[in-house]
Amino acid sequence: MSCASKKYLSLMNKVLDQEATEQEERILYEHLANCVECRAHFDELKYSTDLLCRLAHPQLPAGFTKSVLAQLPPEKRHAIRR
Amino acid sequence: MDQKEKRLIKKVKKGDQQAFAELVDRYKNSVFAICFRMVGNTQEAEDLSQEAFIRAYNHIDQYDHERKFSTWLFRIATNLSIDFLRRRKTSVSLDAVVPGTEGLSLNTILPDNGELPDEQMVRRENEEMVQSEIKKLPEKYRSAVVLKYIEDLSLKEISDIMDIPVGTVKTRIHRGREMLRKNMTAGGGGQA
Repeated sequence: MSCASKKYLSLMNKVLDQEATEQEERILYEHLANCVECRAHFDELKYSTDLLCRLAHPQLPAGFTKSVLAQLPPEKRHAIRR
Repeated sequence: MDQKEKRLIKKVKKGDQQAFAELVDRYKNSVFAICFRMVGNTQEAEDLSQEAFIRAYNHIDQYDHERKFSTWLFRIATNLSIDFLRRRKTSVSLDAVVPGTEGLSLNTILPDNGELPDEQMVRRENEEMVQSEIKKLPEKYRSAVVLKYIEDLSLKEISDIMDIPVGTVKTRIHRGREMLRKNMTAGGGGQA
């Protein structure tokens, strides 16, 4: 980015973190409408994180919980055991 | 945290393993997703997830019920994953010899949703590409990014899990995001 990028980069981060005020958002989007480089940068940031969000949640094998339980120390049963 | 969960934890503190099984069922997919995206290998992620739950059970007395149980649990899982990555880094890195083969049991990852083989292939390639980019992130950025984008947690929750200030979480996410952008898009100059 060759324009006054620091300012806009920090605005981009704020917007992506959902921490920007309405005014900050407007300033950013107005700038993006006029600056090809910043727009490309912003789109790329969104594109990469969108790919992460869209990753499938991996599936665990069915016996997972059972196998965790099997590795726990023996259950304390004060009332029953002597 | 809901009342049911509070009751379950009370029971677990008394040694009730059936109650613990319910907690495992509640959180196993999230814990596994965190471990898997951190270490990039399903078998290792499963082992780490098991270890996380066993630790949680054995140290349940240390859990502070004023805080969210998931925060505490995810912290155990994240720390175990980071420890694992550090150990792996210091041991002879055999897995580095065959890049791209890790986490390949993608059949267990991909949902069976009636996709055509071509679509599956594209999705699989995408998955692998994204996973290998996550793996390039330094571990402290990686954990922040995984908690944010895989688990969709708030910056505050991530700060509690990682035990660092919210400002530091932001910095790590910003840097991680920037690295991903550079590596994942042509605009960033391709491979870093």
